Amino acid sequence: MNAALLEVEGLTITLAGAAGAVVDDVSFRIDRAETVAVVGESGCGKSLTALALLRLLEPPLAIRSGAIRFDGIDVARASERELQRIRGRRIAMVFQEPMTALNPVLTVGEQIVEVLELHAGLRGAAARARAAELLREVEISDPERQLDEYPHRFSGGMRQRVLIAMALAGEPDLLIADEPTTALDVTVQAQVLDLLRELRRTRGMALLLITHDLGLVAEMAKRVLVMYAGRVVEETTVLDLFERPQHPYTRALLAARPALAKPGARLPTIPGVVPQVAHYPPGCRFHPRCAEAFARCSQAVPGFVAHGATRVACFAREESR
Amino acid sequence: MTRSRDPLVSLGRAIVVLVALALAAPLLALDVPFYASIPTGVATTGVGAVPEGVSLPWFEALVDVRRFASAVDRSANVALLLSIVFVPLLVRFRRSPRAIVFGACAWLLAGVAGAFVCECSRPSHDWVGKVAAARAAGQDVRAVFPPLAFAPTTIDAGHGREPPSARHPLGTDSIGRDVLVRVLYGARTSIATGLLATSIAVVVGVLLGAIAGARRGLADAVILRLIEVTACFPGFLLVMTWVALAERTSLYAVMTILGLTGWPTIARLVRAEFLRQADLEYRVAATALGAPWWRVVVVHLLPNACSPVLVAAAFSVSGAILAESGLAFLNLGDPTLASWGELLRQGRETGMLHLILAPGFLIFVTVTVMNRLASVLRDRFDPRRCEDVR
Ligand SMILES: Nc1ncnc2c1ncn2[C@@H]1O[C@H](COP(=O)(O)OP(=O)(O)OP(=O)(O)O)[C@@H](O)[C@H]1O
Ligand SMILES: [Mg+2]
Repeated sequence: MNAALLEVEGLTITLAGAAGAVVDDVSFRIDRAETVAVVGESGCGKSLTALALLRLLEPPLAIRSGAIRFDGIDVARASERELQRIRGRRIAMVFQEPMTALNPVLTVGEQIVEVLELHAGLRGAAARARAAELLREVEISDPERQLDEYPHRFSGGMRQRVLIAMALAGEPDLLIADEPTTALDVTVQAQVLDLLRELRRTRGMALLLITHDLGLVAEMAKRVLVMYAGRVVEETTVLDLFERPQHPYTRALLAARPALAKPGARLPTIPGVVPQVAHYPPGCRFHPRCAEAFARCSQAVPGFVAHGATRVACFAREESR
Repeated sequence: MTRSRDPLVSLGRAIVVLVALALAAPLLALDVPFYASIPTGVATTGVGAVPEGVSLPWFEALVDVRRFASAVDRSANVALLLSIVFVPLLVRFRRSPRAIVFGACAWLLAGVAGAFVCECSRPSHDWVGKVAAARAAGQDVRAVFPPLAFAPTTIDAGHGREPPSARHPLGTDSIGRDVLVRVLYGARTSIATGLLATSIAVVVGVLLGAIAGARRGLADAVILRLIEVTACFPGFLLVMTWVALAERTSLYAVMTILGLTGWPTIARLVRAEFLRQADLEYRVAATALGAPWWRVVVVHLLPNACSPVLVAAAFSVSGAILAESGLAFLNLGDPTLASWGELLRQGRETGMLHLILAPGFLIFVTVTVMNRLASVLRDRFDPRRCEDVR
């Protein structure tokens, strides 16, 4: 096994004032040019995990423990200067909200050029030309003219692409895309996905895809992390995810896909809601909503057990082995 | 949205006219000829003798520390000369607000720098008197004076406290200085006070507000306390105390004190704007793309704070102008500079209307224009009122 591009071990994020960890003991790895998806309901800590990878958490949130190794660099202990050399250049991130992730008072061109100045050493006309090229690459028409526009003139889909163009400007080895398509309609969604796939192929870029859309996972990723309430509950391949889901939560997620629902019938849901950070239950955090739960589930945190290529943290699976 | 008459345009024009009058004061009024051709004789001898031959004394007079004791006047004079370069440039780039701001700042700085680099001190030539004497003696003298051949300090002996006449269009003050000339030069004092006091307030306010808003924590706590403490000092009273203690009133001291007591408003605005932006993703996104924190502050956060600061700055200019007039009215002004407030004081002492009307009107107009500008800008920047201004 060669060295992973990114290796996260036991990442734990705490929120000042809250007892339990917001993100608890998360471990995973991403190889070069690989796409890994992170799925889970809203509020399960996907974005926080992504922010932590770039050390972007701000008080009251903080990394309490864990190792983040990126290409031999210990990100969790890197100095601010080292981080500046990683951010944007080695690891770039496309943020969840295209409406607020662009600065309203700077033109789209100025924002892309900034990244080029920081990481590609380009200035003036050269930077501008490259910015136009990047816009063309993300399929924005008439890029020369769009460079001088302010973001508020752009639709959500166009902004999302500008964000991707900005992330690509530093030619990163790893792109973290936080729900890159939630804000987009179906056709634009498909275009953005095609674009990401194309870029992964041509640039050999690894992709960490954060989403709660399982359809997207099937299309894009090879490996999947399923998160629930700040913990990874299952790590599996895409094939096994749909064919042999192990964790009760994964099964419930799959069953709740709108695509599976009969027309006119109520959409299936997972009973209950994701608990708030302050109210994370002891033991397996999913047990209050779990149909298969038994006494032990509320007393101890299940460790991972392997099922072929799948790792799952569930006492019920331990016994069925 | 199409508006037939944009208030910003007319306010902008009013400001341009005022600034143009202030700058052009020596073009309109000075006791030195633009061009002079003097034969040897009456004019070149005696007290106040002028140099013989052909000369362009007006240009030299602009940087003469004896004629213009205050650096404010000399800077404005150099800026007037530089207008040959800057006015066409500003007109050329009038469509770009950024170019106008940079151009105006460069112009101002060039004026100040120029005044310090080239200053001279000539013996006091009495151009008006000597030219008149030579003409009376029947000599072939040629001299082209500005329309009003008086300097703001020229005392027209025997013409004190005169109502408007052909010789003095707005009359003279209690010791015989031309009121129109002093009103023109007084505009410089007002504008300089407004500009310097506001610049100091803006620089200090933006700096401290940005640090407080961006760094939070201890820096924020310390700066907040500083804001609270400074905001307690009434600027005008502090200035009066200073003036009472100092031997000689200097306009710079006044402007500096006004600036140093005026910054908390601006710091508060900048800090609030930074805190508002703390929750917006582009701030984190910029860091995520590798921008160092100071760059995030300067490139991403400060420009968003521009609009409220601009509004506060416009208010601060009018406040400073009012304060300067007030001081001069109380006879606490800078004695080397003409001032509207000082004319008003004389008017109050003598009860002569012509000493009150012109300066009173100008103070009123300037302050109103700046306040109106501030409120128009505020409306314009209000996102709820208009979302597509840019
Ligand atoms: N600044 C903060 N202060 C307090 N709690 C926070 C903060 N940021 C996030 N949280 C909490 O941390 C938890 C995880 O948030 P996160 O944004 O990672 O969720 P997510 O999985 O990305 O959800 P979504 O799919 O809605 O984006 C949530 O319960 C949220 O309420
Ligand atoms: Mg999220």
